[in-house]
Amino acid sequence: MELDMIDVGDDVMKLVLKGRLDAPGVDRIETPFSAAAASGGRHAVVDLSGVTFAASMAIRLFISVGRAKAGRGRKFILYGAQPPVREVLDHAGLAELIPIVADEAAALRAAAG
Amino acid sequence: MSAHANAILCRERGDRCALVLANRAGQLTEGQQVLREFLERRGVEGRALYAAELVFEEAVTNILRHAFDNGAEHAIDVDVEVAPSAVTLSFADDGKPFDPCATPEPRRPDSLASATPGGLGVHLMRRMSESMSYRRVGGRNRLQVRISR
Repeated sequence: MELDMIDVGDDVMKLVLKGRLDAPGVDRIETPFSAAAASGGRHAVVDLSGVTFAASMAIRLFISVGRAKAGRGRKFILYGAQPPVREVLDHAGLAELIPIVADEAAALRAAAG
Repeated sequence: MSAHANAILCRERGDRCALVLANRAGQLTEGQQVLREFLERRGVEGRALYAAELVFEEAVTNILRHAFDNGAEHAIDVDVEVAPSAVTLSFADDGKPFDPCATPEPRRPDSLASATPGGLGVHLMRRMSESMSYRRVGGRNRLQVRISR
């Protein structure tokens, strides 16, 4: 599981996840991901296009980080999920809680909106 | 077969594979890899492969976290059967009785503020599989999950 952080403006941080968000994968990146998402008080957009697998631990992580961002008045947006990953996010009802959009452009629009 | 070695045990016979995991950290990761490689060799791919991996992760994680509280080593048996129309995973453990089929659907939160992280594993297993059945037999939990191909 890999995590990259990229500045995409003064107000937005892009987090790029690559690999498997299974229980061991989430264990590895939970702390740096949560810290990165919180850093600088910026909105966070998360690129999921390189995530090949996600299960309930990934949902738990996204809800936890999303709650923390919302508590600070910042946005937390997911984008680029591959179809099977998107199906799991949908089954979990995550889209009703956190914006999930198709691509980076849509994510940045949502962050700016 | 014993689950006391470091590596998990796996016995393949045709389109069936029997895995024995111990209730130790690291066994989930190794089991996931063994399962994935077996299913890929049998031509399982796409959504069926994903669903089988998800069911394996959620079921084994539940057993590892909740079934045992005495600190002793226990074996977790996982039988995998590949048929033209379905993949069937059968889990057996001698932990505390737990029927995932009887757990209620999680409440849908209205907002992030009211959402509780966690508790979605069984829900996802249900949604990604065709059927789930549970029996308590001889002091062992037996969970069978069928996934359409």
